Amino acid sequence: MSLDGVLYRLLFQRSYRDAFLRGDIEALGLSPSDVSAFSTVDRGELARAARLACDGILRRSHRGTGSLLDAFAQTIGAWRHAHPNHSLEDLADELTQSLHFERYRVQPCGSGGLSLQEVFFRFAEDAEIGDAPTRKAECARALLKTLVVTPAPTFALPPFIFRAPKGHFAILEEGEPTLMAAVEGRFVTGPITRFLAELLISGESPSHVAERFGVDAAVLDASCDELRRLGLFA
Amino acid sequence: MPAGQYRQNLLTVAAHLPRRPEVLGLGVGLDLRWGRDPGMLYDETHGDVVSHSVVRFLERHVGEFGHLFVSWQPKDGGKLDARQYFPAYDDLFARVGHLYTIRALHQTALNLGALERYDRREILQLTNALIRRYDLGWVNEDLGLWSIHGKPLPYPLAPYLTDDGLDAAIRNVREVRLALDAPLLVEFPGFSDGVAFFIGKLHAYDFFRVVAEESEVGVTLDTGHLLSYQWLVGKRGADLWGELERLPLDRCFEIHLSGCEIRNDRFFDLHHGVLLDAQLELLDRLVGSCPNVRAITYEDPVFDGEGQLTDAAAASFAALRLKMAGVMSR
Repeated sequence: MSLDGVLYRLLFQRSYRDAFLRGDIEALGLSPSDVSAFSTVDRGELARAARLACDGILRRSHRGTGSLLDAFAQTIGAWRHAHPNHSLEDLADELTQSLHFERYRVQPCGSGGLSLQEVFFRFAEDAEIGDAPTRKAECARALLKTLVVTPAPTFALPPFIFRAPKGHFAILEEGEPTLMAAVEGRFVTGPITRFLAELLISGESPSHVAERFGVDAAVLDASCDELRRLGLFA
Repeated sequence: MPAGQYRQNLLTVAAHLPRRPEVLGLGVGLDLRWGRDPGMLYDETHGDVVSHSVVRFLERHVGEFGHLFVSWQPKDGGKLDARQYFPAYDDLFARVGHLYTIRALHQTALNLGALERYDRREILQLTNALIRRYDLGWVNEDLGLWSIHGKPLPYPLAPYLTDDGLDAAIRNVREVRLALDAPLLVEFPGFSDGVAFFIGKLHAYDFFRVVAEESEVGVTLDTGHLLSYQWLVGKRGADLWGELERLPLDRCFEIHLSGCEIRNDRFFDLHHGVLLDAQLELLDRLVGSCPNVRAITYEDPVFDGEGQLTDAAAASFAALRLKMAGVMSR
């Protein structure tokens, strides 16, 4: 393993760091020269630096959405309720140790990586933290608010965020459909009919969707015009 | 060293240093973070603008600071496109640019200590666009790690003080120096408590000197960073400003002073505007030892919404000005 690979794991992977801190060198897979290089590390300082780095992932504020603690308030609230004897440090450590975290990239290394919001969403999905609709709604809201201020992101978008002529949107399907969108520098959200939702995301021709819902041509035209006015429809 | 060779060395080094300021003077460095006051704010009418407090601070001190640097940080997860940064910097320089014609940029994304492959093409393009648009005289950057495997770090970590780390740092610094349209000043990294550890057995001063010499760059010596290293390796008292001869003193163009604190036998690089006496003492010694130093920079002073220094920072600033008067009168 390269020195930077070791340092990365010491900072962001708690089980690896714990092995180093208790002197279990065999568990680390270090070469003799690596052992020599890392022998100068002040263990207390390393532990503090790792704490800052991992906690910063949860607490650092991001333009448009605030921190993960802000963006996923309900999901993280559910985690706290389910883990009364754990601290947010434990949550940060679980997150940074997850496979999804490895795909997170900050600028200028961002191209093609995942946003931190999606990393947390995927992590929470795997760990079944809170309920699924809330996780998805919080992630969609956070990403779309990010897209309001960052319309040309370097990070990849999850499949439930769709591109539109003048921005991006998501349809949340819990109960009645809800539209969330980032269009022309604004975040908009509100209930939407299932017919309009299908027009936006089904991939079928508008006339085909109208036929399925029994909608006449005049209503279809008015619907399409309204979606175009919002910048959501070509 | 014979006098002729010494003069030749100075000339060779000077070729990699900024042209201005031509004489030693005091300036200021500001970390203008996005969405924070002081810093860069979003205004619904005007878009990205510099905060009122920054403008007021710079206006208040125009006679006292001869140069200005601003720290660059990515504003969001968007593509690195200089045009996204122009509105805020345009606003800054439209409002105070005529007062500060000697300007520089403190980069925070060049990752000069990285061992891993690190694609700097976009960040260098962006930096050059800023250099040209705002006539920036130099670019300064810590010799450290700002990110690792694409993950952010809370404070730049020290480079790998190993032979491989040395080779990588020289390679990185040389690449950046050759790509930039303004001189690069590499800064000795900090070892603030909470992140004060290093990997490898090379002495950090030797490491830094070899990187500067091999990659042929000028340097910035940050008094807090130097003291924090010596503190970490157990030096105290007058020993804190020892071993200066191991640094590339002839390559030093800029000296930074940012607020530091020693508490419970721990050294903190806090950037809170309050300077230690040891920093002023080290400044005195460095100015006397660095033949090419021209820029003394008070970094990240703390001020209120009207640009008024806090009482503690004002006292430090007064002490710094007094020290400057002393060193300049020599």
